[in-house]
Formats: sequence, structure tokens, C-alpha cells
Amino acid sequence: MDQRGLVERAREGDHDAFTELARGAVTRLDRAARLILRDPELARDAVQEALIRAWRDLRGLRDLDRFDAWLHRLTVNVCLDIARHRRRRVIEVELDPIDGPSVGDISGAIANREIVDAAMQRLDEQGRAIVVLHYYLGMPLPEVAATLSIPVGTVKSRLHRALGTMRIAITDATDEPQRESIAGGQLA
Amino acid sequence: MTFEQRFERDLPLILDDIAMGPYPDYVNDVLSTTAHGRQRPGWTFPGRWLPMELTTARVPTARWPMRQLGVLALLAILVAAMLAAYIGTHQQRVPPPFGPAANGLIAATRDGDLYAVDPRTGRDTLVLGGPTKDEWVGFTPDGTLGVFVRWGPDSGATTTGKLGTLLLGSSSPPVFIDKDVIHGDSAVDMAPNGRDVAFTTYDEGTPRQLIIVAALDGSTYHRFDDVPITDYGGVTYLAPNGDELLYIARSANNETHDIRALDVTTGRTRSIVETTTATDIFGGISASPDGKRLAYALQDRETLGVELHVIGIDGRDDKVVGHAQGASFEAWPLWDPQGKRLLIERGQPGEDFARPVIVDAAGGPDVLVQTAITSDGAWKQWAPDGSSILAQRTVNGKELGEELWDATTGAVTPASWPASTVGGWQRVAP
Repeated sequence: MDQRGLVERAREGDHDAFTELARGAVTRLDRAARLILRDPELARDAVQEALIRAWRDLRGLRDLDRFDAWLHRLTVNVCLDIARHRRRRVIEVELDPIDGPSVGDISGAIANREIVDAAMQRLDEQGRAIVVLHYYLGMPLPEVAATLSIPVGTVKSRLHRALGTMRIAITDATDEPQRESIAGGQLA
Repeated sequence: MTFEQRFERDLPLILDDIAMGPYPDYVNDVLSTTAHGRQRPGWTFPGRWLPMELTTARVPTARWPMRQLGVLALLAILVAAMLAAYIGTHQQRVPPPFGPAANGLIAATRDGDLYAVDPRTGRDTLVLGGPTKDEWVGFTPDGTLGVFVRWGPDSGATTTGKLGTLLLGSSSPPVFIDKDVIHGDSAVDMAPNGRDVAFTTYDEGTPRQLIIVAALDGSTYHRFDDVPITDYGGVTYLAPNGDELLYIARSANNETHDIRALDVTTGRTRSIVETTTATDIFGGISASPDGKRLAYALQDRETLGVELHVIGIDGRDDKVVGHAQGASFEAWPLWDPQGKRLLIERGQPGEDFARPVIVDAAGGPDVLVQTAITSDGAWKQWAPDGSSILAQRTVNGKELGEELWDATTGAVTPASWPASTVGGWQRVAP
């Protein structure tokens, strides 16, 4: 059965159909939540909450073909809710020693997931959410704006700022390959 | 291909790689929870008729003994009048809880200490200092109490605080509400009776937002659990009696938001503005000082344009106000104490900032404030007498010093006292 059919059945209360939808989506939702929250346990909480809300509110979904986008939106909003309530939490981010590429080997640096991972940690949750929505979940910018309830112009400027921060972090990492930790990372 | 182009091209794949993990093992737990959970009932969605027997049935009422009630009412009025006369001769003069008042002191927080600033002289006085980390919330509407948060130690988890009050002009120690906690994004509003406070807090267990209404001396306390409040927009007591609290709620479609009023006595809620998935409430809301009108901003989710609306508090007579030619959004309204003007933020296409503008609700000319507000936002409050606006802008995550915006000319004057985090402007009797 195609996804639309599953959504229709789930909307009528068919739990088996919802199970199939949830099993198909949970990996991607979990990964998106991990990228935004940088904490697997919080990500787990966020996805669980988003799926429970999805089941509860599925009858309100008008455009059945937009189920995936709707579920992504629910998940990201729950992530941001969780992040807001933990924004005063100060975390110590320990990174393993990085065998950095030689200076100038920028493309090698980009390919290094650890460096990009560390660069993501420099962003606040809003910045990470925008990067994840646009580059990981593939949402166009107007949809990112609608998901986060902010104007498109703000999304553009925040995305620009987030990418700039990441580029600086990557450049720093390639310039200082011996750096071992970032102390006092601040959530938001 | 430039570095930027390669970076953006490779980013999706790298993010995929970073996020790589095992198949989530908790999906079965979720599914067992949802299997036992009900989907939202159909009647919560618009367009569904209530059953006829419900709408046509008469509610049985007992016959009231009208004569006895009349005598009692007369006696009550007599007693109230005598009490008012007594209190009037024995208490200091205080302003009415809504509407214009004279300008009093300004609450300013610096380095975890509370100061009171006289805005005429710029002189600040330490009100509460010491090793604790305190932060002003503001003053009660009658201007007699200062309300603040005492933040707890940074525990490595969520930092929380408790609400405290200080009797201004007295050496009495502060009084705290110990029952519930304030979070970094809690909203607080002081009741017009000058004794109660409403605030939002967060239940870590659920997890969800709650509204608490408590006496500032901690003697009474009521928790509203089943209110689908969002964590922005705050809570606002409605004039004239503060019987209701306005808040922004998640709508039934779980995508957009509605504006609702919560009866603080019965816990019942009513909708004032309901949105469909085509539109959404944008930013904060503001109730007029007479409690009859509500200003809010509505975003078209297709075009993303935002318009400013004023609606009757009964949910009728919705009108678009402001609406400058070419503006891409007009939002964050704030009624002046006279209930005639609205301070708003206006954005133009292609600009990454907004401009504060004072709009005449009756359609008179705008007053443009000579400054800009970035996406980091600004704290704003009208002076109690309506002559100016006390503001504090944040730029690139950094709070700037306080400013006074002249409500007639739009001129901006930096505050003459040391930069602090502003908490509120005291209302005093004229």
C-alpha cells in the first residue's frame, strides 16, 4: 500500500497503518533529532513525543501527501521545545584528538565528519535546526520558515550565519589539528 | 568550484554520516503507547456540529429567592463602601491597575543584584545585593511591590529559580513562592489586585508547559495543567479585574496557534482567535488597558506576510490596522497606557531587521522610531504616562544599554544610568 493509503487508514484510527508509517520514518527522525539536540537521549525523547503527537493529531492533517513534511515539522518543533528548556544547561564537549588534514587541504577537511560534527556543535539549536531542515531533510527555505514560524529573510540570514560559523570552525580545526577539547560549550 | 560551493554540496552527505546510528530500538515503546492512546476526537475540529439535543436542551436551574438576595446585596454594598472609605484614609495612594499612571522607578539588574533607577536623575540605588543571583521581573500594577527571580545554582541541568517579592521602601526581607520554579523562558505577569502572580513553568516529567496562579506571599496557589500553552507569547492578565489570562495556545491542528483566555477561577478556556492551517499567530499579543480589545499579528503561511490585527475581546470585529504600503510584516504590538496607540515592529522586504513604529489605532499618522531591531529582538515597555518607551535591544546575542524612545518624535536617547538588564517601570499614583 502506498504512503497516502497508509496515512488515510492511520487517520481513521488504524494502528497497524500508523505502525508501518512510524517504522518507515523513525530512523530519519531520530537522526535529525540527534543532529539538532546533540544528545541521543534527548533525541529519543523528542522523536517519541513527536510520534505520539502525530498519532493523536493525525485527524487534523488535511493534505495527506504532506505527511512526511508534517512529521518532520512536529519533530523539529519538539526538539526546539526541548532545547529551549535546557538552554541554560552548560555542557563540556570532549572531542577525541583529531588527526587533522594538512593546512590547505580544505576538501579533505570537509570530508572529515568529525570536523563538521564539531562545527555543528558551535551552532545553537535554531542554527542547527535550520541546517538540518534544509540540508539533511531537504526542505526548501520557505518551508523551513513556515516550520519555525519565522520569515524567510530571517531563515536566509540565520542559515548564512550558521554556515559562516561552521566554515570558521572548519578552518580553525585545519589550522589547529592538535586541539583536543572545546570547553564550556553553551547550549543556545 | 569554490570552497563554499563544495561545502554546501557535501554537507547533506556529511550530515547523513554524522547522524548515522542503529535503528532506534524505542519505536516499539512508542507504538505500544500510541496503541493505547486515543486519537484526538473529531469534535475538536471546526465544522463539526454539536448534537442537537445538547444545544437545544435547557439547563435546569433552581429558583432564586430574589428578595432575600436583594437585601443581602444592599448590605454587601454598604459594608464595601464603609471598608473602602476606611482603607482610603489609611493607605497610601496607588494608581489603578490599568491605564495611565505617573512614572516611577525603573528596575535594573546588574551582576545578579537588583537596582532601582530614578529615570529623571539617572541615579541608581542598590535594592538587593549579595552573593545570590537575582533578576528583576518588574513591579506589581499598584507599584508597591518589586518582583524578582532568585536563580538557583547552575546544576549542569536546567537552571531554575523562584519568584520573590520585595516591599519597596521597606527593610523587610524578601518573600518567596517556594512551590514551583521559574525557568529561563518562563513568562510572568502580575495580577491587577497586586497580590497574585501568573507564570508559566515547565513540567520536566510530562514534559509540557503549565500556568501557575499564586499569591505573591505564597498563601494560595493554583496549577493549570491542561492548558496547551506555547512557550512564547506569555500570559497576560485582562483588564479590568484580571479574571482571565490571555495566552497563545497550540491549535487543534497542532501546526498553528490560537489565542485563548483562561478563567483563573474556573479553569475554563475560551477562544478569541482561532487559526486554520492557512494562517498562524505571529509573535506576541497585547490587550488594551480597558480590556476590550486585543492586538495580534497574523501570518499568511503561503505568502509569509504578517499583518497586524485588532479584535474585540469577545472574538468579534476583527480589523487590520497599520498596514503600511510595502511592509512585509507588522508584528509584536504593545498598547500604550491610553489605549490609543500601538508600538509595533515593521519589516520591509529584503531587510534583515525591523523598525519600531508607533501606530495610531484610529488611523492617524505613524511615528517612526529612529532605530532598528535585529532578529535578536528587543525588550520594550511603555512609560506609565505614555510619553516614551523604555527599550533594550539585543544585537548579535548581546544586550545593548537601555534606551528611551520618545513617543511623539521617535527620537532615541541612550539611558543615563549604567547599562543593566531592564526589568520594568514602576507605576505610581499621579
